[in-house]
Formats: sequence, C-alpha cells, structure tokens
Amino acid sequence: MVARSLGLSDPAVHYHFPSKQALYLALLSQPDYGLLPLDQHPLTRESVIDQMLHLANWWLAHPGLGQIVVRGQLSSDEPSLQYLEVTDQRWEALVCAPLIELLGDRGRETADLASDLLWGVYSDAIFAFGDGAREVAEQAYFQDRLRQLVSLTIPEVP
Amino acid sequence: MTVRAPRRDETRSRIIQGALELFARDGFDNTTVRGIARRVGLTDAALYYHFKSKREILEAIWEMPGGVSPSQIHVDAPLTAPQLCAIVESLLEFAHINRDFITLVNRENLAGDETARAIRHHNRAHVRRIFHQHLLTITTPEDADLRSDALVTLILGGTLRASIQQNLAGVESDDDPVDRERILRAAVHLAGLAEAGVR
Repeated sequence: MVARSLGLSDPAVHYHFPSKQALYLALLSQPDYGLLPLDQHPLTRESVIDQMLHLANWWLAHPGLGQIVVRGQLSSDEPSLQYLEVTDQRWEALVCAPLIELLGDRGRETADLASDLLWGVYSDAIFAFGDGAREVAEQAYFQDRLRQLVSLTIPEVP
Repeated sequence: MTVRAPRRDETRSRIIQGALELFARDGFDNTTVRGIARRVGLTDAALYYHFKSKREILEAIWEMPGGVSPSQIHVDAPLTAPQLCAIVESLLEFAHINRDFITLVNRENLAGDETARAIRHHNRAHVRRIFHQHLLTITTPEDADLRSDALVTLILGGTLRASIQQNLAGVESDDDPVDRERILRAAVHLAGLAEAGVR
C-alpha cells in the first residue's frame, strides 16, 4: 500500500526499507524548525508568542508525523516515546527557558500551560481532520484563533 | 432457557469491560476474541453466545454512557474560581476513571473509525458548552467563546500530555498522572478569574 501511494513497485520500496518497522523508524527524525523568531528578534512577550506559533505551525504542517507518534504513544511504543522525550527537551530549550528569562518564577508554569494548550490544539486537529489538518491550519481563521489562544496563556509583562 | 436475565446482563458487561481494557491496551485489530474470553474467564463458545463478533463488542462499547453529570450545566449565578475548579476537577476525575475508554476512542480515531471520531467530537462539544454557559455569566459572548475554547483545549491537551509523561516514566499505576493543582491554576488563569486575587 505504501508502494502504491508513491507510484513505486513493492521491491523498490523494500530495497530502501527492508521492513515496515525500518520505514517507521526512518520517519521518526526530529523536526528542522529552521530559523526561529527568537534567533532574529529580542526577547519580548510578542517574540515568545511568535516562537510558540512557529513550533506549533511546523507540527500542524506535518499531521502525518503527529498521527504516527501519537498512535505510538497510545500503544506505549518505545521509539515513539523516545522521540517525544526529545521533542519535550527541545520545547524546554526553545520555549520554557526564554519564558523563565522573561517572567521569572512564573515562566515554567506558563510554559507548561502553553504546552498543554498546544497539545490540545494539535490533537484536536489531527483527530478531527487527519491529514487534512494541514490545510485547515493554513486558514486565516485558524491562525487568528491560535494566536489568541497562545496569547491568553502568557501574562502581560509589567 | 435456564440463564436468568440479570446473570446474563452481568456476563455481558464483564465481557464489555474486559474487551475495553484489551482494546485500549493493544488496539482493536491486535485483540482476539479468544484473548477477551480468557480475560473474563469464559470459553470462546460462551462469549459467542453473547456477541456474534469482535466488532459487535466494540459497538456495545461505543454505546456506553460517555457524558458528564448534567448538574454541571445548571447555571444560576456568576462563575467564581472555586466553582470553576469544581467543574474542572470533576472533568479530570471523569477522564481518569474512563481512561481506557478515552484511549480506545483516540486509538480508533487515528485508525479511521468514524464512530470514534463522532464520540470524541460530541464529548468535546459537550464540555465546551459547559464552560461556555458558565463563562457567559461573567464576560462578553465573544470572550466566553475564546476562553471556553482555551479551557476545553487545556483539559484535552493536559490529559494527553500527562499520559505521555506517565508512559515516558514507565510507570503503570492507577494514580492519576495529571497534576491537578497545576491544571486548576491554569484553568483559573484561562478563565480570566486569576486577577480576582486567586493566585
């Protein structure tokens, strides 16, 4: 079925990936988030919000990967769990650390809240729309809503 | 017919419960009728007396009551932080008690089961409506709209993320992995009730 959807023959796929398991493991490579908002802008409430939206939008643009790791997680599958652990560490570095710098003690709790919220948005999108989540997330309405939701999590900086 | 009705109902619900646990743990496709029969201490033949197929057991699971207690929809006074906490706490408790059911719904949802998708959609809409009606007592319709989205997303994301962290830590326990105090504080913040001196 994999071969058919790519327009390849079965042997051609088997030449590159000897098993379905090998194909699955190859898919589990960490995201390349590219140039991040905080690489280019000073640390402010707005630039942290942009940073979170940048990460969220990367994941929304890759609903297939999300479905694979969430499915793996639900069946306690080791490679998916390890993958999610690394993703979590990257969230620590890319969002949690800047928030602590910005908000002090409240930074960690804010990062946790934002993480819960974005997991909720993402799982909603892939559960409701599957592969179509990508197109849905590109709509202006969705993007406005996402920004409003993320903004709600971060207290105003005095 | 020698089997009396109450007894038959009891066996039926034991099968449903056993199947629910196995489906949630191993997935519908990876579970066998024989495995379910063993788990509840029946022979295959005895199980087939109650259900014609594995699919029929899944359909019986989908018909299990999945709502939250209707008393929470009753709205008579402006929402306060303690009231919101009570609602969130009962939702988290509900999610904890029904974790096998929720895991199964999520698994089958990703496997393309339309019933599972509809159930998740229905439950989400139901929880959102509870928050929305309460929020309307303290804010504008537009703001209530946004904040009820935020609250339902917090509950769904928070429980999913907690189950991921529990899986990562490798603990199999009946304890609720959700840090309830933290989620309650987050909910109060998202509802816009934190400024009233709750923090």
